[in-house]
Amino acid sequence: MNNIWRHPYFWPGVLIVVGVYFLLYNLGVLWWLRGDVFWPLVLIAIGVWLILRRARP
Amino acid sequence: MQPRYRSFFWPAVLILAGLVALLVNVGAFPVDRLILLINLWPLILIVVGLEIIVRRGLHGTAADIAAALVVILAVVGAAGYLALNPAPTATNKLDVSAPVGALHQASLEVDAGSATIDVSGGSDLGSLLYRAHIEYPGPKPDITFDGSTGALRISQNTNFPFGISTGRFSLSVQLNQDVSWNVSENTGASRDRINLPHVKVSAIAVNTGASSEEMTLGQPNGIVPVEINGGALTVHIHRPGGTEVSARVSGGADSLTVDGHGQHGIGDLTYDSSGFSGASDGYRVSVNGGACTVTVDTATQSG
Repeated sequence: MNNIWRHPYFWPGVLIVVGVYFLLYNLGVLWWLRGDVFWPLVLIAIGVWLILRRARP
Repeated sequence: MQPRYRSFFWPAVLILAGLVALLVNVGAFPVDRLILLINLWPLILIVVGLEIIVRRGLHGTAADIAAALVVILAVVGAAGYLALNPAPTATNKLDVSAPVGALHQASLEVDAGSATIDVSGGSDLGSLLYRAHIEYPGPKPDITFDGSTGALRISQNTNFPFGISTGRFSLSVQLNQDVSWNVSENTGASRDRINLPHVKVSAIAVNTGASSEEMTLGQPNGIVPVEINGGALTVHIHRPGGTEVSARVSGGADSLTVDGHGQHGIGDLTYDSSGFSGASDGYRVSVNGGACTVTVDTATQSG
């Protein structure tokens, strides 16, 4: 089974994405992004993506 | 047998720490810039992630070179960030104002950490609703104003997800005296002076830490609530002579003095002026804190 969680680049990729987000936030680049809206959207996006993966034949 | 993996990460951290300490010790690098390093903590996540990918995707000399490049780029980027950014403890200044328009009521909300706040009435504001002068360390404060409701919010922007702030925030704001104001503050340890003897005030609410509050108020219109919540509080409230007042202090070791009548104790202390019951105008003062020293009088200001 093609399990993305076990892909060798998955968790390092998560680290990098989270690090880039907080770095840009700290540097003031993401001033336009509302944190209280952003993180629920991330949860929704992950949920939708998981559903789409399961629906795939 | 595979060769043992040797990360460049920790050696690079040691080199960076040594370089920074060296530059600080020889006076080439202002020590107050070091606080900027806090902003760069996500670099650790990025470098660790890239190192893992490099080690899994490349082998041999190419992996060593790529891993070294990742660390070098991170160190150079961090050094450039420290060198190019202004020191976070440097004080920046900001002046803001807004037109009064057709407003008859407005509100001022101040959200800040450690702060010095001076709120006063402005007799020379003309067509302005307010005029504020702010001195702040770090990122620019957030200032929002709703022209339809008159809601003004001045918020110290820490620009850090866990709310760490550096330096002292100083705000001096003048309010239009023809407008009725609702004033609220949410601050850390602060030194506040609310000097509004000629301004219509509908309510004052202060939530703070260990703070000193000095308030000079004018003739009340209706029963005006003045609520102060905090830790160790020193509160002086001055009102016009003949103004009715009800004062309640609660918390730990308290002291309440109203017009020369002193009380000391633990728990609740209350005092109502003789004509407060049934009065249509007056101040209802409520102070809640750990250790509170509260005086209410009819002097113009305390010494």
